Amino acid sequence: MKKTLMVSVLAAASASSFAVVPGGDSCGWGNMLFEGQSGLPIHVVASITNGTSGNNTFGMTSGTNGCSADGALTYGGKSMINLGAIMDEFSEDVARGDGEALTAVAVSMGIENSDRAHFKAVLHDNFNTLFPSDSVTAESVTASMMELLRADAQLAKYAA
Amino acid sequence: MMVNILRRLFAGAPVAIWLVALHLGLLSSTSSVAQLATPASIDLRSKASLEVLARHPQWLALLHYGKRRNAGYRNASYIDDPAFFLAEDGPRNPHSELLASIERLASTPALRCRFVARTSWLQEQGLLEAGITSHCPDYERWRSQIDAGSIALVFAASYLNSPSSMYGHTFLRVDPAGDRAESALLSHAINYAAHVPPNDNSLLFAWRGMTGGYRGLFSLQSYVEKLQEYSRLENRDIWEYELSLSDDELERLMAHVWELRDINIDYYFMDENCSFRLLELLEVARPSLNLTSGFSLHAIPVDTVRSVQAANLVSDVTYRPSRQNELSSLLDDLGQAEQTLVLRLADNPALAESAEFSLHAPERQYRMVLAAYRLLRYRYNREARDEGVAAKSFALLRSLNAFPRGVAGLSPVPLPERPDRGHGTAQWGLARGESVRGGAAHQGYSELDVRLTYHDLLDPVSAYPEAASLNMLRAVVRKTDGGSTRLQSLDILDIRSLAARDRFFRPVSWQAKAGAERPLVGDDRLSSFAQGGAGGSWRLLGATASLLATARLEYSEVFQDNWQFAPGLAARFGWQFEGFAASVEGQHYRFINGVDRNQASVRIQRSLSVNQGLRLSWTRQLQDSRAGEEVSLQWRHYF
Repeated sequence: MKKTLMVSVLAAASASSFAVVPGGDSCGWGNMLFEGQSGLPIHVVASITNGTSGNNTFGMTSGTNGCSADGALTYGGKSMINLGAIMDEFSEDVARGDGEALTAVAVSMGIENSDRAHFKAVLHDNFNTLFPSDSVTAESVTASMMELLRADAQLAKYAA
Repeated sequence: MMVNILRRLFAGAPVAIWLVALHLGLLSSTSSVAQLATPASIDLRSKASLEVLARHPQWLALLHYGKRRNAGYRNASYIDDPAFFLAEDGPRNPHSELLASIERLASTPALRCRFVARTSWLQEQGLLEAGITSHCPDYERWRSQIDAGSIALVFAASYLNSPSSMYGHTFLRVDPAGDRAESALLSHAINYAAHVPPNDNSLLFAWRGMTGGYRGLFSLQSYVEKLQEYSRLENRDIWEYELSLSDDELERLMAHVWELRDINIDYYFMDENCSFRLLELLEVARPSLNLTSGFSLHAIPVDTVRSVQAANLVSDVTYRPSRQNELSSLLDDLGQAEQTLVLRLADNPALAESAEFSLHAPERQYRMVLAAYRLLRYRYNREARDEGVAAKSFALLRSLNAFPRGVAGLSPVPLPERPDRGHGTAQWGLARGESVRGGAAHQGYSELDVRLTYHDLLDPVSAYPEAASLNMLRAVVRKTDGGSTRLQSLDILDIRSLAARDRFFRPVSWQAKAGAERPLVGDDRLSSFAQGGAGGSWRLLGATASLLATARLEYSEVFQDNWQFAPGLAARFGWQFEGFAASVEGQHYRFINGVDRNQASVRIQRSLSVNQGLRLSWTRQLQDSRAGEEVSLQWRHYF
C-alpha cells in the first residue's frame, strides 16, 4: 500500500505520460475490485484529499491517486482512455451493457456513433472473456477487447 | 475622474491607439517589430499611453490585481510568487511589470511559452510582434491532450465527515470538443487547492488554513479522478454548471492556466480559497466580468456559484448523485422483502442462482443484484482490497451480466434542489423574548442575532444536506427591558452531523461546538466552553432521533475551580420538512465538581420565503434544583 504512494510521488517526478501502458500501474481511489489495482489506503487518502500531493501537479503524468491522469494514452498506436483508472466503473458498465465508462472507452477509441450500440452489445455479451477472474489486469482486458473487435466484422476497423 | 474617462476610452480602442502610436513615432523606422518593443522605443512613444494600458482590465486580471468592492483595483497582486512576475516590483506595480514584460518577452522568445496569455495580449495591443509564439511544444502538447471545447463550473456538495470540506468545493471541468464530450470521463479538472503536508492534522489544518499558512497550487487532473474522489470516496453530490464562454475566452483561460502552473499563491481558507481563485480565472477569460469584488471577507463556494449564475454565465446545470444517493434511490425502488434479499445477496451471491430467487420477475432480480453489488462496493470502498469482498463483487457482476441488456430501466435519482437556490449563507435575526430565573419576576428582552455562516438544523433544508448543520461565528446581543445591552452568546464553531442509520447505511452521528454563553440559572456571567459528542441517529415517528454521549469543558467564574469538565448525554428529535422544521432536545451534564445541569428545549421554525423565517424557541435549564426559563420569537433573514 505504501508503495502506491511512493509510486505516485515517483511518477510525478519521472514518468512521461507516453511511457505508461493503459492500466499499467495500480491506481484509483478507494477499494478496487480487480487485483490489478490496489488503490490507496484510506488514511493516506484522507490526508491529501483536500490538498495536492506531489510536485508535478500539472503535468499529465500523475494525479494524487497514483494513476496516470492522462486521458489519452496509446495502445498499439491507438489512443484510448486509461482503463486502469476506471476498471471498477468499466466492469460494471460492461456487465450491464451501458454506462458512462463504457461510452468513454468507445469515444476514446474513436468508435463512431453508429457503431457504439453494437460495440456495447459485443462487450456485454463477452463479459466473461474480458473479465475471466477478479485478478485480471487492465492490460489484459484491453488486449481481450482488441481481440473481440478484430473478430467482429463491424468493429474490426477500430482494432486495426 | 479624468483618469477613469481616459481609461475607458483607451480600453475601448487599444489596438487603434497603438496603430496611431506606431505611425506617429516610427514611420521613419523600417526595422523589425522586435525592435519596437525595446524600452527605448517605448520611451519615444507615449509613456502616458503605456501607463494607461497598465491599468487595462485585461492586464490587471492577468496579473491578479483583484477588483475592489466599490470600484477600482487593489494596490497589489494576490500573487507574490516572484516566478510569476518579470519585474521585481511586478506584484505591486502593474506598469513596471508591463514594461518588463514587453522587454523580456521581446528579447527572450522562449519566455513567451511560459507566459502564453500575457504574450498574446501584448501582441493584440501591438506591443510585441506576432508570429514567433507558435513554437511552444510543451504548451501545444498540453493543449492537444486536454482538447478544450467548453468549460463547466463544478460544485462538490458538503462532505460531512470532514470539517474543512463542509462548505463544499468548486473546480473547473474542461470538456473536450465534439463527440468526445459525450462522456464526462474524458474531461479534465482544473483544481486549486492548498498544498497540505501529509501529516498535518485537522486542527492545524483549520488554523493554518485561516492564516494563509499553506501554499495554494493549481493542478490539472482527469475528471474521473475527481469523480472517484468526491462522488465515490466521499459520497458527495456533484453539480455541474455549464459555462457559456466564447472560443476566445476559453482560449485565454487555458493559456492563463498554463501561466499559473507551479505558481504558489497563499491559500486562505476563508476568502482566498479554491472558489475565489476560479472566479479570477473567469475574469481573465472575460475581463468585463466583476465576480471577485463581492468576496472581500469570505468566499463560500456556493456563493461563488451564485455570482457566476448572476453574471449570466451558466447555460445548463447537471446533477451527478453521489454513490450513496445512487444506491439509496435504487433501494427505494425495492420493497422490504426485496431489500432483505439484497442484504442476503451481498453476503452470499450464490443466492442469485437459487430457485427461491428465480421466483421473482427478471427486472426485479436485476435490480436486487445491482443493489447488492453496489452495496458491497459502497461498504468496502474505504478499505483496502479484500479477497473475499472482491470475489463476492465479481460473482454479482457475473450474475448481473446474465440479464439481457436493458432488462430494467432504472429510475433516475430524485433531483434535489440546486445548491445555488438554497437560503443565503449569512443570517441576521431580531427576537423578542422573556426570561425568568428561579422565583424572580419575568424579564422581557430584545435580541440581535448575527451569523457569518451557514446553516443550522432548523433553517430551511431545501438545497442543504439533511440532518447536518455547520455554523461559524455567530453572536447574539441582548438588551433587557430597562436594563443593559450585552453579549449573550458567541459561537465560534458549531457542527452537527446527525444522518440516520438504517439497514444499509450506518453513519456515526457527531457534534462539536465551541464558544461562550450565559447560563440560565444563578450568576449569569459569560462562560467559555468546548464540547463534543458522538452517537447514532435513527428514523423514529417521522423524525430523526439522535442519542449522543457528550463531553464538555467549561471555564466559568461561577465555579470555584474555574475549569470544569463534564461528561454527559444528549438526546434529540428533529423534523425537517419543506418550509417547516422542529426539534425537541434534552441535555444532561454532570460536572466533576458535582454540579448537575439539565437542559430541555423545543424549537419550531416556519419559512416565510427562501430567505425569511420565524422561529419560536423555548428553553429550560435546571442546575442543582434551581431553574431558569426563556421563550422567544425570532424573525430571521438570510442573505
